[in-house]
Amino acid sequence: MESLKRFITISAVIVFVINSGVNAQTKYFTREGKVEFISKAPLENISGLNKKATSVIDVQNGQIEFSILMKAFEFEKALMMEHFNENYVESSKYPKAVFKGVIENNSTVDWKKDGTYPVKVTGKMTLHGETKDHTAEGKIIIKGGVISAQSEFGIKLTDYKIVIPSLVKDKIAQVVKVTVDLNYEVLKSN
Amino acid sequence: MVVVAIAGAIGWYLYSKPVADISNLKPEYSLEAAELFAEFSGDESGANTKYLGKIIEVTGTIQVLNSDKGGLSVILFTNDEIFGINCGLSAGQDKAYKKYKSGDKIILRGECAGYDMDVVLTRCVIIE
Repeated sequence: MESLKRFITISAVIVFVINSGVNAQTKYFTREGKVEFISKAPLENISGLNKKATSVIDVQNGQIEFSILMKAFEFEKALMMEHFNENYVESSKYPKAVFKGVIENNSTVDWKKDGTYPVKVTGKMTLHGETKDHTAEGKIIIKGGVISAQSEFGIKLTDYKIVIPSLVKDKIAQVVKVTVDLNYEVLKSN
Repeated sequence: MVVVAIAGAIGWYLYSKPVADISNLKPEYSLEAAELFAEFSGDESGANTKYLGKIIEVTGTIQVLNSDKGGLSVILFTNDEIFGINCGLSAGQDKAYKKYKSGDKIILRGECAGYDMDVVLTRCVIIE
Protein backbone atom coordinates (compact mmCIF):
# COMPACT_ATOMS: atom_id res chain seq x y z
CA MET A 1 0.00 0.00 0.00
CA GLU A 2 2.83 2.33 0.98
CA SER A 3 4.74 1.68 -2.24
CA LEU A 4 1.58 2.21 -4.32
CA LYS A 5 1.02 5.58 -2.65
CA ARG A 6 4.64 6.46 -3.28
CA PHE A 7 4.35 5.41 -6.91
CA ILE A 8 1.28 7.56 -7.43
CA THR A 9 2.90 10.57 -5.76
CA ILE A 10 6.08 10.28 -7.83
CA SER A 11 4.06 9.83 -11.03
CA ALA A 12 2.00 12.87 -10.19
CA VAL A 13 5.12 14.95 -9.61
CA ILE A 14 6.66 13.75 -12.89
CA VAL A 15 3.48 14.56 -14.82
CA PHE A 16 3.35 17.98 -13.18
CA VAL A 17 6.98 18.76 -14.03
CA ILE A 18 6.59 17.62 -17.65
CA ASN A 19 3.40 19.63 -17.96
CA SER A 20 5.05 22.75 -16.60
CA GLY A 21 7.82 22.35 -19.14
CA VAL A 22 5.37 21.92 -22.01
CA ASN A 23 3.37 24.95 -20.91
CA ALA A 24 6.48 27.09 -20.47
CA GLN A 25 5.72 30.67 -21.41
CA THR A 26 6.14 31.18 -25.13
CA LYS A 27 3.22 33.53 -25.78
CA TYR A 28 3.25 37.26 -25.12
CA PHE A 29 0.48 39.75 -25.69
CA THR A 30 -0.52 43.38 -25.52
CA ARG A 31 -3.89 45.15 -25.47
CA GLU A 32 -2.53 48.70 -25.43
CA GLY A 33 -0.52 48.60 -28.65
CA LYS A 34 0.00 51.85 -30.55
CA VAL A 35 -0.68 52.09 -34.25
CA GLU A 36 -0.48 55.42 -36.00
CA PHE A 37 -1.05 56.27 -39.62
CA ILE A 38 0.03 59.40 -41.43
CA SER A 39 -1.22 60.60 -44.75
CA LYS A 40 0.92 63.30 -46.30
CA ALA A 41 -0.69 65.19 -49.15
CA PRO A 42 -0.23 68.62 -50.79
CA LEU A 43 -3.16 70.22 -49.02
CA GLU A 44 -2.68 68.80 -45.55
CA ASN A 45 -1.24 66.05 -43.39
CA ILE A 46 -3.73 63.85 -41.56
CA SER A 47 -2.93 61.40 -38.81
CA GLY A 48 -4.90 58.97 -36.68
CA LEU A 49 -3.66 57.25 -33.53
CA ASN A 50 -4.93 53.95 -32.13
CA LYS A 51 -3.80 53.04 -28.60
CA LYS A 52 -5.80 49.84 -28.25
CA ALA A 53 -4.19 47.51 -30.76
CA THR A 54 -3.92 43.93 -29.53
CA SER A 55 -1.22 41.51 -30.50
CA VAL A 56 0.02 38.04 -29.65
CA ILE A 57 3.54 36.76 -30.35
CA ASP A 58 4.62 33.16 -30.00
CA VAL A 59 8.38 33.36 -29.52
CA GLN A 60 8.82 29.65 -30.12
CA ASN A 61 7.71 29.70 -33.76
CA GLY A 62 7.68 33.43 -34.54
CA GLN A 63 3.94 33.59 -35.17
CA ILE A 64 2.66 37.10 -34.74
CA GLU A 65 -0.86 38.45 -34.93
CA PHE A 66 -2.31 41.83 -34.39
CA SER A 67 -5.79 43.19 -34.39
CA ILE A 68 -6.97 46.81 -34.52
CA LEU A 69 -10.44 48.13 -33.79
CA MET A 70 -10.95 50.81 -36.46
CA LYS A 71 -13.23 52.89 -34.25
CA ALA A 72 -10.44 53.27 -31.72
CA PHE A 73 -8.46 55.59 -34.03
CA GLU A 74 -8.31 59.09 -32.57
CA PHE A 75 -8.22 62.27 -34.60
CA GLU A 76 -7.85 65.95 -33.95
CA LYS A 77 -10.74 67.03 -36.11
CA ALA A 78 -14.32 65.72 -35.91
CA LEU A 79 -14.74 65.89 -39.69
CA MET A 80 -11.68 63.73 -40.29
CA MET A 81 -12.92 61.15 -37.79
CA GLU A 82 -16.30 61.10 -39.53
CA HIS A 83 -14.83 60.74 -43.03
CA PHE A 84 -12.42 58.04 -41.90
CA ASN A 85 -15.10 55.94 -40.23
CA GLU A 86 -18.07 56.51 -42.50
CA ASN A 87 -16.48 56.90 -45.94
CA TYR A 88 -12.93 55.56 -46.08
CA VAL A 89 -12.70 52.44 -43.91
CA GLU A 90 -16.45 51.99 -43.27
CA SER A 91 -15.75 50.90 -39.71
CA SER A 92 -19.34 49.94 -38.90
CA LYS A 93 -19.16 47.32 -41.65
CA TYR A 94 -15.55 46.30 -41.03
CA PRO A 95 -14.81 47.00 -37.36
CA LYS A 96 -11.40 45.31 -37.25
CA ALA A 97 -8.18 45.22 -39.21
CA VAL A 98 -6.24 42.01 -38.63
CA PHE A 99 -2.74 40.87 -39.49
CA LYS A 100 -1.70 37.21 -39.19
CA GLY A 101 1.86 36.31 -40.01
CA VAL A 102 5.21 35.03 -38.99
CA ILE A 103 8.65 36.41 -38.22
CA GLU A 104 10.65 34.91 -41.09
CA ASN A 105 13.99 35.10 -39.28
CA ASN A 106 12.70 34.05 -35.86
CA SER A 107 15.70 31.78 -35.37
CA THR A 108 17.99 34.83 -35.36
CA VAL A 109 16.17 36.38 -32.40
CA ASP A 110 17.48 35.38 -28.99
CA TRP A 111 14.31 35.98 -26.99
CA LYS A 112 16.11 35.49 -23.71
CA LYS A 113 18.84 38.04 -24.36
CA ASP A 114 18.51 41.82 -24.27
CA GLY A 115 19.16 43.41 -27.63
CA THR A 116 17.70 44.89 -30.79
CA TYR A 117 16.90 42.35 -33.47
CA PRO A 118 15.92 43.34 -37.01
CA VAL A 119 13.06 41.19 -38.27
CA LYS A 120 11.11 40.58 -41.44
CA VAL A 121 7.47 39.73 -41.00
CA THR A 122 5.25 38.26 -43.70
CA GLY A 123 1.62 37.32 -43.62
CA LYS A 124 -1.85 38.43 -44.53
CA MET A 125 -3.41 41.80 -43.75
CA THR A 126 -7.17 42.17 -43.71
CA LEU A 127 -8.42 45.74 -43.89
CA HIS A 128 -11.77 47.12 -45.08
CA GLY A 129 -12.86 43.54 -45.77
CA GLU A 130 -9.97 42.90 -48.20
CA THR A 131 -7.16 40.42 -47.49
CA LYS A 132 -3.76 40.90 -49.06
CA ASP A 133 -0.26 39.53 -48.64
CA HIS A 134 1.75 41.91 -46.52
CA THR A 135 5.43 42.13 -45.66
CA ALA A 136 7.15 44.53 -43.32
CA GLU A 137 10.53 45.08 -41.74
CA GLY A 138 10.73 45.85 -38.08
CA LYS A 139 12.64 45.51 -34.85
CA ILE A 140 12.21 43.31 -31.82
CA ILE A 141 13.69 45.09 -28.83
CA ILE A 142 14.32 43.15 -25.65
CA LYS A 143 15.26 45.30 -22.67
CA GLY A 144 15.29 44.06 -19.09
CA GLY A 145 13.45 41.00 -20.32
CA VAL A 146 10.56 43.10 -21.74
CA ILE A 147 9.69 42.46 -25.39
CA SER A 148 8.76 45.32 -27.73
CA ALA A 149 8.07 45.33 -31.44
CA GLN A 150 8.34 48.31 -33.76
CA SER A 151 7.68 48.60 -37.43
CA GLU A 152 6.96 51.12 -40.13
CA PHE A 153 5.34 50.28 -43.43
CA GLY A 154 3.13 51.66 -46.18
CA ILE A 155 -0.46 50.75 -46.89
CA LYS A 156 -1.63 51.39 -50.44
CA LEU A 157 -5.26 52.43 -50.11
CA THR A 158 -6.36 50.95 -53.44
CA ASP A 159 -5.08 47.52 -52.32
CA TYR A 160 -7.82 47.49 -49.72
CA LYS A 161 -10.45 49.17 -51.90
CA ILE A 162 -10.40 52.28 -49.71
CA VAL A 163 -11.89 54.95 -51.92
CA ILE A 164 -11.06 58.62 -51.56
CA PRO A 165 -13.59 60.83 -53.34
CA SER A 166 -12.04 62.98 -56.06
CA LEU A 167 -13.10 66.15 -54.23
CA VAL A 168 -10.61 65.48 -51.46
CA LYS A 169 -8.09 63.50 -53.50
CA ASP A 170 -5.42 66.14 -52.94
CA LYS A 171 -5.92 65.84 -49.20
CA ILE A 172 -5.18 62.15 -48.79
CA ALA A 173 -2.04 60.29 -49.81
CA GLN A 174 -2.41 57.16 -51.96
CA VAL A 175 0.04 55.34 -49.73
CA VAL A 176 -0.38 55.92 -46.04
CA LYS A 177 2.53 55.46 -43.63
CA VAL A 178 1.78 53.22 -40.66
CA THR A 179 3.88 53.07 -37.49
CA VAL A 180 3.45 50.22 -35.02
CA ASP A 181 4.78 50.26 -31.44
CA LEU A 182 3.88 47.34 -29.19
CA ASN A 183 5.08 46.43 -25.68
CA TYR A 184 4.33 42.84 -24.70
CA GLU A 185 3.66 41.02 -21.47
CA VAL A 186 3.45 37.32 -20.75
CA LEU A 187 0.16 35.70 -21.79
CA LYS A 188 -0.80 33.50 -18.88
CA SER A 189 -2.23 30.22 -20.12
CA ASN A 190 -5.56 29.23 -18.55
CA MET B 1 -19.95 89.25 -50.63
CA VAL B 2 -21.07 89.01 -47.00
CA VAL B 3 -22.83 85.71 -47.76
CA VAL B 4 -19.58 84.28 -49.17
CA ALA B 5 -17.68 85.40 -46.08
CA ILE B 6 -20.27 83.82 -43.75
CA ALA B 7 -20.35 80.60 -45.80
CA GLY B 8 -16.56 80.54 -45.66
CA ALA B 9 -16.58 81.06 -41.90
CA ILE B 10 -19.13 78.28 -41.36
CA GLY B 11 -17.18 75.99 -43.66
CA TRP B 12 -13.96 76.68 -41.81
CA TYR B 13 -15.67 76.14 -38.46
CA LEU B 14 -17.10 72.78 -39.52
CA TYR B 15 -13.81 71.73 -41.02
CA SER B 16 -11.69 72.50 -37.97
CA LYS B 17 -14.23 71.50 -35.31
CA PRO B 18 -12.51 69.27 -32.76
CA VAL B 19 -13.87 65.90 -31.74
CA ALA B 20 -16.80 66.28 -29.30
CA ASP B 21 -16.24 66.02 -25.56
CA ILE B 22 -18.13 62.97 -24.31
CA SER B 23 -19.10 64.62 -21.04
CA ASN B 24 -21.47 66.72 -23.17
CA LEU B 25 -23.04 63.73 -24.92
CA LYS B 26 -25.89 61.63 -23.51
CA PRO B 27 -25.23 57.89 -23.28
CA GLU B 28 -27.43 55.61 -25.34
CA TYR B 29 -26.92 52.69 -22.99
CA SER B 30 -26.10 52.31 -19.30
CA LEU B 31 -25.09 48.94 -17.97
CA GLU B 32 -22.78 46.86 -15.80
CA ALA B 33 -19.32 45.90 -17.06
CA ALA B 34 -20.01 42.16 -16.77
CA GLU B 35 -23.26 42.49 -18.73
CA LEU B 36 -21.61 44.41 -21.58
CA PHE B 37 -18.77 41.90 -21.82
CA ALA B 38 -21.18 38.96 -21.78
CA GLU B 39 -23.11 40.42 -24.71
CA PHE B 40 -19.96 40.78 -26.81
CA SER B 41 -18.43 37.44 -25.89
CA GLY B 42 -21.76 35.71 -26.49
CA ASP B 43 -22.62 37.31 -29.82
CA GLU B 44 -20.01 39.71 -31.18
CA SER B 45 -21.89 40.47 -34.37
CA GLY B 46 -25.14 41.22 -32.55
CA ALA B 47 -23.36 43.31 -29.93
CA ASN B 48 -21.54 45.25 -32.66
CA THR B 49 -24.82 46.13 -34.32
CA LYS B 50 -26.17 47.31 -31.01
CA TYR B 51 -23.19 49.12 -29.46
CA LEU B 52 -20.52 49.94 -32.07
CA GLY B 53 -19.94 53.68 -32.27
CA LYS B 54 -22.51 54.40 -29.56
CA ILE B 55 -21.93 56.30 -26.32
CA ILE B 56 -22.15 53.86 -23.40
CA GLU B 57 -22.07 54.45 -19.69
CA VAL B 58 -20.58 51.47 -17.86
CA THR B 59 -20.41 50.70 -14.13
CA GLY B 60 -17.84 48.32 -12.73
CA THR B 61 -14.98 47.52 -10.38
CA ILE B 62 -11.48 48.58 -11.33
CA GLN B 63 -9.16 45.70 -12.17
CA VAL B 64 -6.19 47.87 -13.09
CA LEU B 65 -5.27 51.46 -13.86
CA ASN B 66 -2.74 51.95 -16.65
CA SER B 67 -0.74 55.00 -17.49
CA ASP B 68 1.98 55.17 -20.10
CA LYS B 69 3.05 57.51 -22.85
CA GLY B 70 -0.10 56.42 -24.66
CA GLY B 71 -2.37 57.90 -22.06
CA LEU B 72 -4.53 56.81 -19.16
CA SER B 73 -6.83 53.83 -19.11
CA VAL B 74 -8.99 51.91 -16.69
CA ILE B 75 -9.81 48.22 -17.06
CA LEU B 76 -12.96 46.95 -15.38
CA PHE B 77 -13.55 43.42 -14.09
CA THR B 78 -15.96 41.19 -15.92
CA ASN B 79 -16.72 37.49 -15.48
CA ASP B 80 -13.72 36.67 -17.65
CA GLU B 81 -10.50 35.78 -15.84
CA ILE B 82 -8.21 37.98 -17.90
CA PHE B 83 -10.18 40.37 -20.07
CA GLY B 84 -12.54 43.19 -19.22
CA ILE B 85 -13.84 46.57 -20.29
CA ASN B 86 -10.84 48.57 -21.47
CA CYS B 87 -11.60 52.28 -21.13
CA GLY B 88 -9.16 54.71 -22.75
CA LEU B 89 -9.53 58.08 -21.08
CA SER B 90 -9.91 61.44 -22.80
CA ALA B 91 -7.33 64.14 -22.22
CA GLY B 92 -8.12 66.17 -19.13
CA GLN B 93 -9.24 63.19 -17.05
CA ASP B 94 -6.00 62.95 -15.08
CA LYS B 95 -7.29 64.80 -12.01
CA ALA B 96 -10.32 62.54 -11.70
CA TYR B 97 -8.20 59.46 -12.54
CA LYS B 98 -5.86 60.09 -9.59
CA LYS B 99 -8.71 59.62 -7.10
CA TYR B 100 -9.13 55.94 -8.00
CA LYS B 101 -7.32 52.69 -7.26
CA SER B 102 -7.78 49.00 -8.05
CA GLY B 103 -10.89 47.56 -6.45
CA ASP B 104 -12.83 50.85 -6.49
CA LYS B 105 -16.26 51.09 -8.09
CA ILE B 106 -16.41 53.53 -10.98
CA ILE B 107 -18.79 54.80 -13.66
CA LEU B 108 -17.32 55.75 -17.04
CA ARG B 109 -18.85 57.04 -20.25
CA GLY B 110 -17.20 56.44 -23.61
CA GLU B 111 -17.65 55.44 -27.22
CA CYS B 112 -17.75 51.72 -27.97
CA ALA B 113 -15.02 50.70 -30.39
CA GLY B 114 -15.78 46.98 -30.32
CA TYR B 115 -14.47 43.68 -28.98
CA ASP B 116 -10.83 42.63 -29.23
CA MET B 117 -9.69 40.61 -26.20
CA ASP B 118 -11.36 43.34 -24.09
CA VAL B 119 -14.47 45.31 -24.92
CA VAL B 120 -12.92 48.68 -25.75
CA LEU B 121 -14.36 52.11 -25.00
CA THR B 122 -12.52 55.21 -26.19
CA ARG B 123 -12.60 58.92 -25.33
CA CYS B 124 -13.87 58.00 -21.87
CA VAL B 125 -14.78 60.42 -19.14
CA ILE B 126 -15.12 59.47 -15.47
CA ILE B 127 -18.66 60.13 -14.31
CA GLU B 128 -18.38 58.96 -10.71
